[in-house]
Amino acid sequence: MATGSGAAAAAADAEEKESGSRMITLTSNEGKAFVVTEASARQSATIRSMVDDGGCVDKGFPLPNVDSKTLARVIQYCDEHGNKEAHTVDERAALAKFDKDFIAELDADKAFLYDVTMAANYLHIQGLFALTTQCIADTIKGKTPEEIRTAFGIEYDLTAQDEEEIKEEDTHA
Amino acid sequence: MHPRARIHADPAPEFDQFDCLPDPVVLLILNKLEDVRSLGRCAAVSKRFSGLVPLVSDVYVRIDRVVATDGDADDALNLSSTKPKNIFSHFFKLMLFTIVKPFHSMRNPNGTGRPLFPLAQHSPVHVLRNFSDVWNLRVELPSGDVGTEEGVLLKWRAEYGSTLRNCVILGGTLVDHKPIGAEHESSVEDNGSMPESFYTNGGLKLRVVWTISSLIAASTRHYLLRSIIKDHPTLRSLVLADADGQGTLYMGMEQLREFRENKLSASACSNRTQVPACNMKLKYAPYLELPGGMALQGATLVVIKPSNDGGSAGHSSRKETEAFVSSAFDEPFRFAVKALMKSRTYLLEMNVRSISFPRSGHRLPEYMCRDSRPYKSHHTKIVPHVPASSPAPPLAVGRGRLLAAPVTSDSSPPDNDKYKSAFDLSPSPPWFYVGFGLFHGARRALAVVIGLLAAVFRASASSRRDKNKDSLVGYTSASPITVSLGLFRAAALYVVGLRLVGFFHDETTDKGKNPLKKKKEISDLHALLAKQTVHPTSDVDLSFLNLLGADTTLRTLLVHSLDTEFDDIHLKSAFLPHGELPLVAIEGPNAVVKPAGPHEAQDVTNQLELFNELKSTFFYESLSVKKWLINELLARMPHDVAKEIMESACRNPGVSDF
Repeated sequence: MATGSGAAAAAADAEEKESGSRMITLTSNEGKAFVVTEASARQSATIRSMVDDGGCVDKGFPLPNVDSKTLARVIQYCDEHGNKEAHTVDERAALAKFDKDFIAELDADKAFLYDVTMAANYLHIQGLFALTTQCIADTIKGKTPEEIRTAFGIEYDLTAQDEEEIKEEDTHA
Repeated sequence: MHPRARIHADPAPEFDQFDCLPDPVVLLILNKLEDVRSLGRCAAVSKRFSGLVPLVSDVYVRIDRVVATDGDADDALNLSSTKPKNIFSHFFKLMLFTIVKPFHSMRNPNGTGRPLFPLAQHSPVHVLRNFSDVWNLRVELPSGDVGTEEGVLLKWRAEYGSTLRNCVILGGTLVDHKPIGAEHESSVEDNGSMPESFYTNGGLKLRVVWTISSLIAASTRHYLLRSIIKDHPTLRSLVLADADGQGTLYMGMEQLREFRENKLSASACSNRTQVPACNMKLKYAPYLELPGGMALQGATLVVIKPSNDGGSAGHSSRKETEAFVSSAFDEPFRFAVKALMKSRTYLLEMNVRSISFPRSGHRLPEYMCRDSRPYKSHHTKIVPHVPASSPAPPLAVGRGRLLAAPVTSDSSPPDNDKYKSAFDLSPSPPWFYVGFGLFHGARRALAVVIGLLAAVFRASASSRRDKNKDSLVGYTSASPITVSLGLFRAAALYVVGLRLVGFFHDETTDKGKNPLKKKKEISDLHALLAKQTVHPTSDVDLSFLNLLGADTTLRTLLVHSLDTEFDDIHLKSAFLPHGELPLVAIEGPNAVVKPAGPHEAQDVTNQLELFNELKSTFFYESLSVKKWLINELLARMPHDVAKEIMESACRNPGVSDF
């Protein structure tokens, strides 16, 4: 419905489908609709398989697990990666720079980073998921357990006994 | 804790924000950490983390330092105890990798800053036991195993199953800028063939040392992986690299499966797996420009494949090998490999022969015969790779000798003598003679036994004296004279016993040689060695020593001789006149003159054989070396044997060389 080409010939439709110029609507759990190109939506393996299975494209995809803010950010990533070519060295460098800036911005807001990670996981956007998890992993690297707890707001729930076990494991290990 | 953005229904909203990530996602994040140290710290973060960490599938272990330990102490990496405890069990000290305890930084939550646990060291095997589901494991050693000269580039990559599958070695001297014109004209004129000087200036020998050292380093690493592979049936890929980027051992899923199915053939002598008989193809370029302003001088590529697995696999395996070789290294060395693949191929053959453990009765043979050593003997020869249609290659291979000859494109008959003489003229005569004392442990035991016998003798003497006192029957002279006679005899026997088993070898057989002076020589050699940087695992199997020039292997040899196990072995050095290399012979303490006995006749035969063998072996050696050696040998033989040998030598015209 978003494409406005409902009456298009079958051949043209197929061509469009191939070229990925069809538009797809994604709806957040708050009911907000986002219209994206098919190429962009295809960044998500979840949506890709639904599109390839046919049907429901016209109805749009409701995403009950993703809120508007997160979805907007995810779509920003998908647009960049889905709509742009990455064949030449320059193009790839531009994309890498985009990723770098993208994740730097996310990293500043940890809670949002987790939300985007979750959305990427839910939508199976491999590149984005790799990007966010790597970012979290980088945060963990080189930190002491106490620092990790602080960085992620994790409650210290190891009992003295647990600690003893870790110690035990460690000395025997 | 954090009120915002809790979109999905969270079962426990009071949990912190990180907890909204489901376990599989956290596990994926932990997978990205890889580093075992970070993982160890994570395990100490919370209950959830400590439960997830053992499930991580990608683990990377960086080893800070490698320490040598006595293998018996460590059950994880120890030697099979069924093996005879030969000289090498101490010789090749077991390498225990240590890494700093991953949990050492775990601090008391009260914020006292006091580390909860003391700093300790762990073998990777132990640390890895904390992980139950490892798929991809990467282990990094602190440095490469093969010590090389400054500026030398040496890289190897080996693929292992239960034994060596593929190995590729790239070596050369890395130079920064491109010299202009003259320097590399040779590379233009003869495309990838060895220059004449390559045989004479030690270049070829150095390549062989690199090859052998790399192979040994690879098989040592392979051996060390056993317990890790055993502990982790989930492994799918295993990489053992080093921080220097020198060597990489790789095992993929299929190789790991094969490893588990087949029993390892450990090299009899050491903590490494046996290197199979291999076909080695050597390619050479005097000068090779690399992308990025670098260049390799004397660039050498050695492609190694076990010689027995060619037949069945055929062309596909050749393709596999090619793929392996061309993808073995990263740029710019990948480029170098590709360039070298185009140049002429030389075949390098290494045959591994199994040598039986010598009997202790044949002490002289141990000393003299280079093959009677309890480890695999490798003989290397280089023959040029010739197309089937060509005439026979100009092969010049002496026994235990390293010779190579290029393929001549013209049809003139090969000039073997040229290469022989070229080799003889080389500044480092490729001569090495090493004998080992293999049973000095047994020797000590024997000395103790004789000492005990002496004690018993003494006891019986005194009891006889007592008897004499009591019964007044028998000998009339139950006097202190008998006692002192008995004691004297006991003492004499003790000394003779020691003498027999060679304890006083230094003094008794090296007449005119001051033991102190010898000690000084040894300490001088040790001092010489201290200046060399030799990595503990850069063991070069001593059986190669015969093949290599003394200069390149001397220090390796000395490293080995520094081993405490070798304290009793006499390092003998003779500094020859007219600038010849110091000649170092290591002789075992068993190499003593044997007292006459029923086996003498056999010994004579053995020694004759050995002598003749020696004659042919040292055929190419310079006269002064030969003379020195022969004199030394004859001086050590029983007089009658020596005489017989000399007589036999006179009958045999060949020996007149000496």
